[in-house]
Amino acid sequence: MTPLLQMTGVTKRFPGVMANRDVTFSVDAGEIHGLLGENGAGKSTLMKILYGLVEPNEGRIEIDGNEARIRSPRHALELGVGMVHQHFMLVPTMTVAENVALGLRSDRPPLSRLRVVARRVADLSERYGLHIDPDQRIADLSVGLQQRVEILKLLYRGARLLVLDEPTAVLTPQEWHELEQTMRSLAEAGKGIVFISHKLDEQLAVADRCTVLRDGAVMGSVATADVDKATLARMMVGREVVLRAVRLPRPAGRPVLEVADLGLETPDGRRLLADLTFSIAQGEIVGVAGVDGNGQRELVEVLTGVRPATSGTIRHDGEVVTGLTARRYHRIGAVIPEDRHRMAIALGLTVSENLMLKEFGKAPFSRRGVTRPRASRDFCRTLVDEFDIRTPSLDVTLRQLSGGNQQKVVVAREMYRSPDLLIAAQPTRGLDVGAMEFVYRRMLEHRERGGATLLVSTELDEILSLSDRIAVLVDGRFVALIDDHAVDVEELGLLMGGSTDKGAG
Amino acid sequence: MILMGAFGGYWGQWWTGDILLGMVAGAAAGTSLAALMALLSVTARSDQIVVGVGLNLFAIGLTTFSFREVFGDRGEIVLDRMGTMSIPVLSALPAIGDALFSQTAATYATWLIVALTWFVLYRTSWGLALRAVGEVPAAADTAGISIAVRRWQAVLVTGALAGLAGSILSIVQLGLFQENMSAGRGFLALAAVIFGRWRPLGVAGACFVFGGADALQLRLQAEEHVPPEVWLFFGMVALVAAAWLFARSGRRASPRALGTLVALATIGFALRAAAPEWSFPAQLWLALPFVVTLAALSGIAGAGAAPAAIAIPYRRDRDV
Ligand SMILES: Nc1ncnc2c1ncn2[C@@H]1O[C@H](COP(=O)(O)OP(=O)(O)O)[C@@H](O)[C@H]1O
Ligand SMILES: [Mg+2]
Repeated sequence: MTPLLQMTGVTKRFPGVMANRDVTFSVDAGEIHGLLGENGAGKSTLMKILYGLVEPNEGRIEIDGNEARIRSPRHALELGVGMVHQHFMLVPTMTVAENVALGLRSDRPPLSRLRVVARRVADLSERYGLHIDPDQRIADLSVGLQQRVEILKLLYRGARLLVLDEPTAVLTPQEWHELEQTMRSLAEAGKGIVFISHKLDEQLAVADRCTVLRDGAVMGSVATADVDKATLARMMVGREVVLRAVRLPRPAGRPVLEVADLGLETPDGRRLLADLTFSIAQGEIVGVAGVDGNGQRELVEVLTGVRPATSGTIRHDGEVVTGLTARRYHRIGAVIPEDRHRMAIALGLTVSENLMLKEFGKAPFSRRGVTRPRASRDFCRTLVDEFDIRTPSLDVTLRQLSGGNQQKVVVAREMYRSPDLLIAAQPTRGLDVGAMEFVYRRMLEHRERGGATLLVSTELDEILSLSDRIAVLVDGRFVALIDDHAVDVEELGLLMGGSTDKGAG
Repeated sequence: MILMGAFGGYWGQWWTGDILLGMVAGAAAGTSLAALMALLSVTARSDQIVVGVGLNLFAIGLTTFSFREVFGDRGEIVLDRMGTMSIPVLSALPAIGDALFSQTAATYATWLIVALTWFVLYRTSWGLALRAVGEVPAAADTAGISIAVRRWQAVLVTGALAGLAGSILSIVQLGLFQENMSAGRGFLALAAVIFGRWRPLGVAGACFVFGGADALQLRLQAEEHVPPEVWLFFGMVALVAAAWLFARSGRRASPRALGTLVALATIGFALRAAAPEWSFPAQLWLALPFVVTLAALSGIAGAGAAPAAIAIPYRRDRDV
């Protein structure tokens, strides 16, 4: 049988990197084909080549056995190839129907005939069980629904091969299961699906076959029924990966951060946080588990001085610091915020500028208000080496780095001074296993040195393997504060759902 | 582009002797400057502020120079203006009839253009694509729309319309051209767009307000002093606005906006009461349209409705 898609010998060079080398890749109709690889392995680039967004240096693409030179997304769509990008390509101020109609010839040009479009969208939505209302504005939809709009857009255009680039990075577990269902029903309808993800579990759960990329080259293409997680991880990273952190028991020292009755209300009286009391000692990692949106972001913002608490006290080393400013917080602790793009780094600035964000005003990097580039460069070079930041140079903008390397920049900047206190929110979100292992190692080193850590995460495995104590946050309150980690994933999941039969400590 | 249109229109009518051909020439002049704008900002992806300021100065220089070259030694030539057309029945309406329905054909045409703009933007595929190109160009690009082509088209259409506006200023309204005669009207138009929340009908409404201020200015310039009753009038307007704001959003009304309006009203009444004979020189009226604009922009208008990608050159390698 001729495959739906056959890519042969595809090579793409960017200045300084080989994003794809001699890649051979094929997808059959009705197949879910996983594309696995670390950040920067070249997955997106390969698919952008297929979609006509990037021109390959070498290689051949065949669709249904016919050679295709794909020059533009429009051309790709004409050939039946559609792609859902990592960042959604939707206009938030427009409705679903308007977004779908975008770029299409209507049945009666030049009118856009949105009502006709809306009707067809509703039909398609029903056929594939997508539950999309064509008249809603994109901005009012959840991320999971927006993703379905993207899929709908492609189905509307008659795509037979759907490429989903890291679709799960932004989804809640619930939404992921829905996506899984959607992918299955699409495959049953005979569509070919390329599923990009660096999460091994997801690949094993949904893909029929899985092709692994490393440094732009294909490491192998395997049926997921024949492999286990460890094998896939080894193919992807190129060495054994230890994600189960080895955490030596160590006596906790004096408390570094003490929080009492912390509360936060919005001006119109909505409670975001209430009655939070806990402390973190030297050499201790306290994990805060919870479903996204239960106050995690607010807790981190209050503790790091981004917004003031409305009640309660915060002490650092015994000294009351309630109402501290972000600037003051940075003198006592480090923070890895949840949304690095908004809160931690400037994508348009260079690697060295980002590394220097906290330092450039201080000696020896500036003298009487004038920066001293030489000193900064030496400092940055040390950090890049020590934290293994993979970048072509110090002067490329952060936008050009992979997510994992961007996060390493944040970790390097925050951690190199060995702070007493680290507040880390979703520190491995969007990272591949290699980078994840790196972040875990740094956090454990911090613990060994006697640093205190507050780890806020929705990944239960992460919480369980790293934390000495675990707090469960539901609706802005701790429903449990478990001293030992005498708790497993199931129990934690139940607590996060709001059940409170585990003793509060 | 307005200035180019004003000169182009004037020159065109003078050359051909026909006012419609003059307007076509005005539109063409605006379009040609727009082409330069598009070349620099869309194709060469230059910073639009720099390009905009540059082209502004260029237009002033070019029109002034050409005007002196062509007309310098001929003295002031006043061309025939466009006659007014009264619409039967409607123009007989009391109070507003004469103001709204006894106008030049060009004025009626502007209403048509507003309606047409709305229709094109919201009812055609082209308009849909254009709005997307302004909001999230990457989304349009991946949907197979050429960003550069759409932006070029949009800038050219804008140029033609601005040129037309200029020609209306010079040949329809006055019948003559003066150096830099558009005098900041382009910026007023920009303000109207923001005040109208980037929607054609809103913008038309905003133009009404600004245009009203402009007309008032022209009328009142003739007076020597600002009549003190004006304070009373402004005080009342501010009070009404405050009441309206309160009625619309109730307790959630922004206290700052409410406070500002009430303060304005108080100042208005207080001035009337305390210093009945005190008044400003008439020159103040010259600034009126700009004052209204400033007040509208700083107080009432939200910036939220602007297209997200406005003035940002598109690069596929960065934005996708
Ligand atoms: N437009 C570009 N210019 C230069 N380098 C790029 C560009 N796009 C991607 N790269 C580089 O190519 C490599 C592969 O990137 P990508 O395909 O995005 O990886 P993945 O999707 O697997 O995370 C990375 O090293 C990345 O930095
Ligand atoms: Mg990618």
